[in-house]
Amino acid sequence: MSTAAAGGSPAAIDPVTLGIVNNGFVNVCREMGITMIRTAFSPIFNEGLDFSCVLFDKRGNMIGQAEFCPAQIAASLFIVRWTLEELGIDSFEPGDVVLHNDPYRGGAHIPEHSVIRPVFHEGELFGFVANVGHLAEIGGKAVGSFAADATEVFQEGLRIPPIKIVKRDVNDMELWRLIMANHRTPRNTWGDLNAQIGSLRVAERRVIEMLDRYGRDFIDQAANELMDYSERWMRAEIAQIPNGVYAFTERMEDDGVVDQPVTFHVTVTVLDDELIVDWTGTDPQVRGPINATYGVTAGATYNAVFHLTDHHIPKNSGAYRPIRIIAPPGSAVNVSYPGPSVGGNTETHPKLADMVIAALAPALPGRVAAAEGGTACNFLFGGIHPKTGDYYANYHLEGGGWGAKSYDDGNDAIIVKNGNCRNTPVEIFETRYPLRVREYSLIDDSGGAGAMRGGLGTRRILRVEQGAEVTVNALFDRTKPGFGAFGLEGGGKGGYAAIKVKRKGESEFRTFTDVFGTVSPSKFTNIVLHGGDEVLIESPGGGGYGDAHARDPERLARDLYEGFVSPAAAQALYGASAEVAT
Amino acid sequence: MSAASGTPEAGRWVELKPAVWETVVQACACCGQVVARRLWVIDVEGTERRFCGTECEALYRSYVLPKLRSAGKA
Repeated sequence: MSTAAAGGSPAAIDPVTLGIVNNGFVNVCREMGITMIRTAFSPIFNEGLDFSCVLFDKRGNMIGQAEFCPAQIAASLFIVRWTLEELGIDSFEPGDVVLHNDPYRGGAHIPEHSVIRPVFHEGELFGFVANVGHLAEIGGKAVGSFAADATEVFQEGLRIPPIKIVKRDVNDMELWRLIMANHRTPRNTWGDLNAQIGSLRVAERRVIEMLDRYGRDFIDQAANELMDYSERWMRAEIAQIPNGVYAFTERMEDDGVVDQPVTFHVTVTVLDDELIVDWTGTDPQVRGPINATYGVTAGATYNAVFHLTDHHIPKNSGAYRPIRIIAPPGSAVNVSYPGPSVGGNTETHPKLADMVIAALAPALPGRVAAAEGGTACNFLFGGIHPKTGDYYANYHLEGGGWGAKSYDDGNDAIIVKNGNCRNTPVEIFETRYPLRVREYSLIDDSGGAGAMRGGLGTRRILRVEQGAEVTVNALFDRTKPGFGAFGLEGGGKGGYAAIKVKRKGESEFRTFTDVFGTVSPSKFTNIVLHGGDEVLIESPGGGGYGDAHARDPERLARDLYEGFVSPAAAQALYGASAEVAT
Repeated sequence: MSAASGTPEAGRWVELKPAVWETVVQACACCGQVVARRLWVIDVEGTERRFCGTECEALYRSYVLPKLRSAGKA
């Protein structure tokens, strides 16, 4: 432990001890996560891992995080700071838990529910532990609370400003009852929110153990030194990028309400050891729910910068300091009340992150990657389960292909980079819901062609069980020609996404626009399917990197052997001879 | 204080006290972030601007204003 010189500042803590304290912070967050996985009710948490656990000091600085969802972690910076400012730091008492899901108060989108608990040590406030989790059902116009055609936040679910749902370790049951009455699956809400709250109690115990072991002053000093260290490291990383102004433009196929593309624009200014990431030039806020909140846009920006810099930098508030973000209010990157935003987190975030990466491609050609699939392929469904008679609802995500890098192919079937979530096993899916998985496979030729190939998307076919009635919603993107994931340095575009339906007795899958007249083929709500109907979900592939004709023949041969690239594509896109291709 | 000029008198912190029914929010004139409780209010070239803090005022002066000028919007 450091010793303070008489009357002076304490001596700096040695790097080894700092590393131990940092690992302690990270492990507190990891243990919160394990608690969530083991106690939550919904597959979106215990299988999908759509939650994040974070540690803050009493000023609202993030001092610890672990390997959770980048979008939630970044948003927590704004959520916790907002909560402290709105409620006032003096309003917190031991055992309180604040609940908050307001997208206009720092949040990412309305299903994301944050719980925040103060940590007191020997009667004095030390900081806060927080858990941000995506509740699978929170009411609103569409089951699963992902209304792809919402035009106002009120249609997206129950909005909750920062309120104390637990006061001095006693549940405020009046508030609980109000929430339960507005969600379609209240039992799951009860279990999932209590799993989140339980993880806070575990974290509180571990933080207090650290404070008992090292002393309050020492931990405060270590947290400050770790943040300064992260800031210095991040500044050194940015300083390696040549000064300059870099820009990129990307489009989304539609907003779910108006059948027109939405344009996003970013200008990245590198000025010595700072970045200014300016989203001016992006389209005004749109009618549909693909608008990003400020927290989403900031999170996407940070996410991109972390992809481009040394991943060993301790992730705390210090690492974020050199990155300045400008997001015009009332635009598609900073939605204003009461605009909808539920899809901004899943569809817009990955595109914004890829835009920052692509903008810096000329400056960092060896570090960037082409675009990923860029859609979470949000598929939500619910109804009365024919076997139990209970109402069920589920939020299903599909992994797609990631972009190729200069040095390797893109990853296959990975959830969008805002999420870091996990695939839900088929067995869990079929056990819980009246749907059968008829096919789950990688899609050949879906990775953008290139010297390095884009990752592959997936195909899944679901059949509704006989006797069941299922209401489905979807919020996808990249289904229309021209909107595939972009390649870099001459790499090709990734394959398209698809969400289609085949009614019982029919032989062909068709778009929901063709069958049900939805405005968008990829974003719609409240379509009722019956036993024997099938849904086809295809996730998009990632963009390629470099000239496909320059692909290593051994890599191409392996692609052909594995069936990742078809013989026809090997000839047409990679220039392989007929002999090699077959 | 004004981060750009270093003159403490130039700006002032304004506490927001919205009524429970109010829905209008105040966004920072530079970064666009909605401000929860305190606004940094300062006159910038004859126009009152509201920021989330002095760092955003400084960025507004050093980055946003020059861009607006070059675009003929300031």
